[in-house]
Amino acid sequence: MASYVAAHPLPDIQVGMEWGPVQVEVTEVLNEQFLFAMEDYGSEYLPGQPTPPLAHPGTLLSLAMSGIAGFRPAEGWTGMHARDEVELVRPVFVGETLTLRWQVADLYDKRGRPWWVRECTITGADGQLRLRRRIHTAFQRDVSAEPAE
Amino acid sequence: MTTTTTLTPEQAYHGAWKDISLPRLLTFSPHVVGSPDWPPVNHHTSRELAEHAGLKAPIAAGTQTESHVLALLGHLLGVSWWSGGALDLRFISPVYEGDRIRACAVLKSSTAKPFHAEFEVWCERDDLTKVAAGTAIYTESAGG
Repeated sequence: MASYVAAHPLPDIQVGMEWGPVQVEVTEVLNEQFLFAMEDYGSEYLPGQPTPPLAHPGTLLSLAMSGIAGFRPAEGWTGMHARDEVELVRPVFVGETLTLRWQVADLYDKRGRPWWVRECTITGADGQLRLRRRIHTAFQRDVSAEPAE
Repeated sequence: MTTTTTLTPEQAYHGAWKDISLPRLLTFSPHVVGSPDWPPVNHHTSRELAEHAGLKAPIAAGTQTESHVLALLGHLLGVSWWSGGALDLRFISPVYEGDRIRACAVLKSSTAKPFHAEFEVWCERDDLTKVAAGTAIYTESAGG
């Protein structure tokens, strides 16, 4: 049980901070794993079509979280994924190698809670943008935590 | 696959019901099954950690719920959705292992040339309570 609550969940975070770039290949094995996870075997995601299979959106959104998923707020705080914005610019096909970058897009308070927005951009090997995602996280004090004296 | 011309305003389109089972939660991971980094051990995948966090069961990532909405719109609009779609979704209720959910969309407005469509979208449990809700917009690109 936490006995200390930091004054702010993100004491060292500033707007504009960046993570990445990370390069990831969308392999057939990885994509098929998400077809299972999503129970979605639509023909557009499977081999055997005139064009390469599309990367499933689950694959892409999960990759977009991969570089930031391990982040932990300061002691005594819990983050909740509260809102998400996705802009689909170009399709991603199985076999593509993607470059992922993350940036802190915003920090603000709303209804008494701290929030932050992290933006992920995914580009293809041709340098063209494929997807942009803005992940909004709200923080609350841990239920088990006691306020710091 | 439904084409854009067959979508009816105010009609609700539903994806298939999906079972949020532990195997589905474990495989919703950017790490390939069997690789050193798999399985991830967190409150999305571990009953023990979920219980420790005060949750009744492992909780599905919002990303997983959101992906069902994106996939439904891809099914409704075809491949063009992936080069002109936008989604704004708010997560309003947790989804736990054992829940069944489905994605839903209603066409609210559209124009023909260039094709532009706005949808109300949500994801619901089998008791029809919404777990996520928002809007989606498709705008046909200059290349069609």
